[in-house]
This record gives sequence, C-alpha cells and structure tokens, in this order.
Amino acid sequence: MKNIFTFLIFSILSTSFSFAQDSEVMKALKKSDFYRGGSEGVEWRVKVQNIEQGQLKNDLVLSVEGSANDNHFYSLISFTSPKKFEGQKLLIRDNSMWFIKQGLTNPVPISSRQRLSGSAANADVAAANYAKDYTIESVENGTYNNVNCWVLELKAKDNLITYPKIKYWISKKENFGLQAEFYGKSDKLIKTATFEYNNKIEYKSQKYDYLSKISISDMINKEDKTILSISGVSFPVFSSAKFQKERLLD
Amino acid sequence: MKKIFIILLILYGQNSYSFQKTDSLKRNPFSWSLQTMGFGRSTGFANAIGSINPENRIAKLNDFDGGIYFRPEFRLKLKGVDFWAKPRIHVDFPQNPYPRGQNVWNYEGYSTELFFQELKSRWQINNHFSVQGGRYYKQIGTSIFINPSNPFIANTSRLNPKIELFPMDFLEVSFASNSSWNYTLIANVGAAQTPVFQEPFLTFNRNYGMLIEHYGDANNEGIIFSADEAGRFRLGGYAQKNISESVVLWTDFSADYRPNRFYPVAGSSTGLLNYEMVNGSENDKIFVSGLIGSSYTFKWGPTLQLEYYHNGKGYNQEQFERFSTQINTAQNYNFDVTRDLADLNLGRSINSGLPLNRQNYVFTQFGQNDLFDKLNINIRNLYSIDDSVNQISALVEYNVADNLEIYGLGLKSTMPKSVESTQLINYQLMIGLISKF
Repeated sequence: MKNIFTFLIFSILSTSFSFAQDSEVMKALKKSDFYRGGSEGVEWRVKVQNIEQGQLKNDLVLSVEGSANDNHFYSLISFTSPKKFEGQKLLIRDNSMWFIKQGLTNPVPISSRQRLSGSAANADVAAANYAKDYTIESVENGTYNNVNCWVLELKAKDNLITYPKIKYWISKKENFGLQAEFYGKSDKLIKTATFEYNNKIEYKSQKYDYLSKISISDMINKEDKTILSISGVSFPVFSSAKFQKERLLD
Repeated sequence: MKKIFIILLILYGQNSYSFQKTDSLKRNPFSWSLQTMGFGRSTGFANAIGSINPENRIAKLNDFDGGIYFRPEFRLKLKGVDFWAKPRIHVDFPQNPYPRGQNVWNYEGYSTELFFQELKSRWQINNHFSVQGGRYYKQIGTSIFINPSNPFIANTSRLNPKIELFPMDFLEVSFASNSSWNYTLIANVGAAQTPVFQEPFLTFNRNYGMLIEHYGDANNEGIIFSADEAGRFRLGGYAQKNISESVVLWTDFSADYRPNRFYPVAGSSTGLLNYEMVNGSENDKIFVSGLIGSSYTFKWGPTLQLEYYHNGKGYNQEQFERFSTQINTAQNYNFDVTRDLADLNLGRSINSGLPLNRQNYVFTQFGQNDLFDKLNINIRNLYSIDDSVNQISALVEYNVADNLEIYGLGLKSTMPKSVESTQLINYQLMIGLISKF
C-alpha cells in the first residue's frame, strides 16, 4: 500500500514537473518566435547575401512587414533592391502564398516550394512561426557556445510546412533561438541556421535585444551560404486588410 | 538612415538602447520610379479579302512598329491616406498602318500619347474601413490566364505581358471585419479607354458589385454579386487551396444573366446584310463559365500551370458557323453603305466583348524566374478544343545589369485552314529593352 502511495505521489510529481517543463518550454518557444518577428505587427529590412561556392552571388534588400500570433502568421515581403527585382512582392498568409512582379496584373498563387526557388528563398527562415506550425516532439538539455539551452525537436503540424522537422536550440536565460537545423522529408539535414540578437528595440514599453543576423548554411551544397542582416525594426499597427492579396497591387 | 543610426549610437553609447522603433516613421512619404521601355515588333496578321481584317481596314495593325514607353510611378504615403499616380507617355513609331501600301518600310511618323494607367487614392479610415477610388486595373479572382469571376474587366488575359491592360474607373468601400474576412462594395463608374466600350462597340453601363472574400490557413475564397444599370446580373466566385508543398489548386467561375457581348445572327436590322453581330435577346439568359486550374513546382525549380476553361458565353458550333460565314461573306458588300455595315460587323467580331470566342480551352504555362540570377523564362500555350486553334508564346527576360533588361517575345498561332479567316494574329515577334531608375 505504501509502495503504491509512493508511486502515485512520484507519478503526480513527475507529471506536474513534466507539465511545468512543457509549459516553460512552450513559453520559451513562443518568446523565441517573438525575438524573430513573432508579434502582431512588425516591420524590418533584410539584407540578403547569397554566397555560392564561396563567392557572393547576389545581394538584395527586402522590406518585410509581418503579423503573427497563436492563430496566424502573415508576411508581406517587398523587394527593394537591386532594381531588377523592384516591384516583386510575396504575400504569405499561413500556408497560402501569392507572388507578383512587374508585368503581372494578378497575384499568382504559389506553393511553398515555388517560394523557395528564388533568391529570397531563405528569407522564410527569418520569419517562421515555430510555435504555431510545429509541435514539440522532445526536449533535451544542451549547450550552444557554452550557453545553456533547451534543444527541441519540432515536428511540422501538416505537410504544407516547408521543413518537416527542426532541431532548435533555445537559450534558457533569454529564450533566444540560437541555432536551428532544418530537416527534409527523408530526415536529411538540409540547412542549418545560427541567429544573433544585436538589435535593440522597445516593445510595449519593454526594452529587448532583438534579431539582427541569421547565417544559413546549405548542408547539401556545403559552400553555399546565406546571410540575412536585419535592421530598421519597428512595430506598426496594421489594418485588418493589410495582408490581403489585393494589397500586392499597391 | 545609416548616418542617423550611427549618430544615435554615439549619443547613447554602444550599450544603451538606440530605438529603431521610429525608423519606419522617418521614411520618405514620397517615392517614385521610372521604367523606360523601348521595343521593335513585327506582327503577322490576317489581311486577306474574306478574312476578319480585310486589307487591314478593320484592326489597322502594323507589320512593323516600335515604341518608347515611359512609365513613371509616384506614391505619396501620408497618415491614413495613400496616393498613386502612374502616368504613361507612349511614343509610337507605326509602320505603314492603313491602308496597306506597297512599301512596307514606309515611315509614317510618330505619335505621342499621354494617359494615366493608374491614378488612385485610398483612405484607411480605421483598422477596418477603407475607401478607395480612381482609375486602375481592378483585380478579382485567382486564376492565371483569365478570371471569369471578374464582372468589371472582361479581358483579364493578354498575349503580351509587356503591354499593360486597360484600367477603368472605380469607387470602393471596404470593411475587413478581421484579417480573414473582407466585404467590399465596388462601383465601376467609368470605362476609361477600354477599346470594347468605344463607339461603335459595346455600351458601357455603370456596374455595382458586392465582394465577400475569406482567407483560411491554406485556402482563399471569394464570391461577388454584381448588377449594372442596364439590368445585367452576374454571380462570380473563386477559390484556391494549397494542397501540398508543391501543388496549388484553384477555380474561378461565373453565372451571367445578359452578358455584354456581340454574337452573330442571320439577317440584319437594316435588311441590307445577310448576317449581323448584335447584342440582343439571345443574351437574355444565364450563361455559366468556369475554370479549374492547378500548378506544380518541380524540385529542380520551374513551375507548370494548367487550366481548363469552359466559356459558356463563347460561340457554339452553330453560332461559330454563322460567325465564320459573316466574316467570309463581308467581301460581297462593296457599296459605301453596305461596306461600312459589313466593316462594322467585322469590327464587332474583333471587339465582341469575348476575350475568347469558343467554349472550351486548355491553358498551359511553364516558367522559371531568376535562372542563373539573370534569366526569366515563360512559355504559354492556349489550345481551343472546339476548333483546334493553338497559340504558343515564349517570353525570355535577361537582366544585363541590375537596372537593364533585354527581352524577347515570340508568339505563333496555328489553326486548321477552315478557321483561318476568323483569326486575327498569326505571329508576333518583339524585342526590347527596359531600363529602371
């Protein structure tokens, strides 16, 4: 009887501990999303440098307006430089996407694979909403550059998500996402990303360090890299119609 | 901006917070760009006696022409109010347009045209309401090639993406109850320079619509009901769904009561011709048109799009035979009055209000952007199942430099001999340069 009682107490305590940890990890995941753009209204500029076989292939600037919460993830990406890309825009609404460029009169509905075929392919890594799109499969303790982290294995909630699995290092102290590994359908490692947080922002009267740089390495073509440098972060209030496809024609 | 940021860093010290929050507010509210397009073009078109364009009297096309098109764009973004102005200055160098002369190199001088492709303003009253009005191209629908759900602009497709579509005049009031639902009242109050609404073609009537649009996680749907001042009604709709990482499906459809179109009838109101193109009582019923489409993106980059379009307003076999006979027999009328009437009918055959005049089409598009960081390639094919007319076009854009693009466009129509006289364009070749500032 005593053994059963002890077992029950232990089970309840360990379950509570597990719930507490799950809840803490989920909070950390949401907070890490916030530092990477997950807020009701955010706007920034991204300088994208694509390096292929060690050589700078192109250098472009995007203006990104986004909105994310537990229920949605919207992003309007406008190409501002170089001139050859000017006028190109990409609207992402959860798992629907549209593209427009000069010469098109209608926004074209596109798939996530089509989105990834252009020069801005890696811009999605910057703005992904992991708490909404993924479930936490497992959590381990780990370190990244001597910083204590949770190492999360995230599994995509449906087959529309670009990467079915992500391994994600979140610092326990600040809840910064520090490193991510992106896996394909066959569990093959496709790319890795590291994140830096040197932007200083104020959000709802609180001051935070904020995402400033993402370095993405291609694990298939190992000499290919993309560096995303983020600046000009602001938190505007967008109208409800901001992320509708007609606004691509503006 | 960078300077301001550096100054802030110095003022506050590197470890203090330099609030970039205000960065977007410091943006210049006025922005502009200028695109200049120069091109030369060769067009092969019907001009035989007995064709839809005898001696090029009707369409007045050019064997060879060129142009320099200036396309500046201005935007003024104030708090709550946005203005867009896109004036166009077209300098055209037509070659021997009409009548067809003996010397195809006969230079005809140049013409200059100034107009607004877009002159638009939007007032965002609050987070939910906005009012928008002006002259612009109103996009409705989700398909690539043609949007039957668009009740305002019939010809939403084009063979040549380098030539802009005609805008019209609109006034809209929108209510977005949240980010997923949008309700818009749309008034199409003017036809602007849309050719089909110029004399002696269709009459423009003000048209009013109510559009309800919904966005889901991986889907988007819309429904629009519209009525014009001449008593025409239309119900249109569209939907799309991303079904996997590489496949998107969509549909776009309409049911029209009394569509604004010309169709061929035997006899004529004047009693002088055997056939006539009219906009009459045969239109007093409901016509259903619909399109289904899908796209697939290959792992190696390009995207293939496929659409099937059933055009309920298009001519059935009997109507098409009348249409064809009307064209073939127009040459029989040689006196001034009858010839003018026959030419009017041929003009209405070209500007019928139907972008596609048969009932069943398959559209295919294969393309990839940004190949080798410099090249965009797009191949389109339109096949008419009813009469086996096929039109294939290819567009290649090459970015020589960041602000300079060279492009080439080729288009070729093939058709059975029996329908040759009803087709206007045989081929088109166009090469040009676009500079961007």
